[in-house]
Amino acid sequence: MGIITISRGSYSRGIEIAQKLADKLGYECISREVLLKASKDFNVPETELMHAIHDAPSIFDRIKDGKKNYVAFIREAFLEHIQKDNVVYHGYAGHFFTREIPNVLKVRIIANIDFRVKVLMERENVSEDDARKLLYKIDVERRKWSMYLYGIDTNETELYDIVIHIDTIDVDSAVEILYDMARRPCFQTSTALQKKVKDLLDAARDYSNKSSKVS
Amino acid sequence: MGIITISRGSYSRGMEIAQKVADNLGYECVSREILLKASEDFNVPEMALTQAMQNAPTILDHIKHGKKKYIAFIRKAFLEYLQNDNIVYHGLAGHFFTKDIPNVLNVRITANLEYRIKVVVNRENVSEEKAREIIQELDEVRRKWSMYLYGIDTRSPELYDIVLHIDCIQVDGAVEILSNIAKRPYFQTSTETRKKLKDKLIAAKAYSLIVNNFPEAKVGCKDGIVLISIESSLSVEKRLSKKFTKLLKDVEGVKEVKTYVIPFET
Repeated sequence: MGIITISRGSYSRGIEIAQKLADKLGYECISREVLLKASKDFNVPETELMHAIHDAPSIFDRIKDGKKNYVAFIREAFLEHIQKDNVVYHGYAGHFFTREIPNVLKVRIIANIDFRVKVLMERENVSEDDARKLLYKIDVERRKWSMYLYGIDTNETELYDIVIHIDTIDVDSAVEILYDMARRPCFQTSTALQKKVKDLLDAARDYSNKSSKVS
Repeated sequence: MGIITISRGSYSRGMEIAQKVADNLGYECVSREILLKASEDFNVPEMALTQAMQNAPTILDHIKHGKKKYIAFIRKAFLEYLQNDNIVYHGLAGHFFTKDIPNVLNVRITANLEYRIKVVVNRENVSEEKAREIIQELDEVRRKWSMYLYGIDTRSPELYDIVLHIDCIQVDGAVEILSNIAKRPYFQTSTETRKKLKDKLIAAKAYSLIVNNFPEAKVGCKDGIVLISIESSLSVEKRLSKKFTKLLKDVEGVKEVKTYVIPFET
């Protein structure tokens, strides 16, 4: 019984690790499901939510706080999902959404730039030069996004219980290491965790009720 | 059979973790021993070496290269220790010294600022405010040190195989997890590790012999062949080559010395 969030550098094979870990633990593996739920619950197109959680904030966002509202919708959908327990979430912002929740295992998967370039080239069939440029752009967007919303860089190790570098540690070993972590007593769902999720969810619902009345 | 380096944020209980992992695996746990060995081998006070490793570089260091010299001595002592295998090293620069050596497990232990403050308050009997100051100062010194020598912050996760945050898993949890990782096939010392370690040690010995006069020289070694590259005038290449060959002729394992002069920019 537990909740795991996996933050991943893009093209670091984090999705594969999340899926295999969830299978091994018998947990549900979620990512896009959260956006779909938010899209449905708040009647906002999925692409808009995707932009809100992915792109660096524009000047317009800074003035209007539009991004913040969308992120609040996603956060609410996320909290509803994890309330069910036994979940591996991979994707954006999981470690921020669970920052105050005890006993959640927060993981980050990273890889060297050369490794990521290779994965990107194979997957998207692009040149090395383009792959490097694209990764740089993605990393900068990510940093700007998290600095804007949470005042801390996603790459900061303090946000996670464990950071795994998968160049030397391969995908299967990473899964085994995380399985070992996830079964430890401190990462089992506790009463404190359940209470905190409920409180946060109540607050999130209040917030989205108010913001939908305002708009 | 393996080698582990543990880099630790100050007051993150990394020392305790290193000792327990070593006990668990039956490895030797080393840290200060390296400085003592370097101090003895090169006849430099241990205090001077400690300062070279701990303090942020001064303007004088940038000009005089004193820190580089001491670190070269420490690197040599460190690599000599590693030849024994089955070692957990905790302390400064282990992950830098083992760069490019395969199958070494590089670990970083971190803790939240609040956790570290608590440790300082208990250990040093100071106020919370003072503890915060101490930690922030130490972190800044560390950052400057590693930026000066290696151009990258010690806290960067890319430098390590694993970064473990001990607030939740605590010391004993971290020890178990690290011991399990260290037992994985990839982190067992291989023929390639030994070969690389041997070459690295030869390069470190060579550099420690020339660092006084040529602190900017880059020294590498492959299969016993030492490669020294240095920025200078092309006209002195032959002379330098002879000088280095003579200086390094008695270093164990050296088969040949090759010198490359990179001409000054005109």
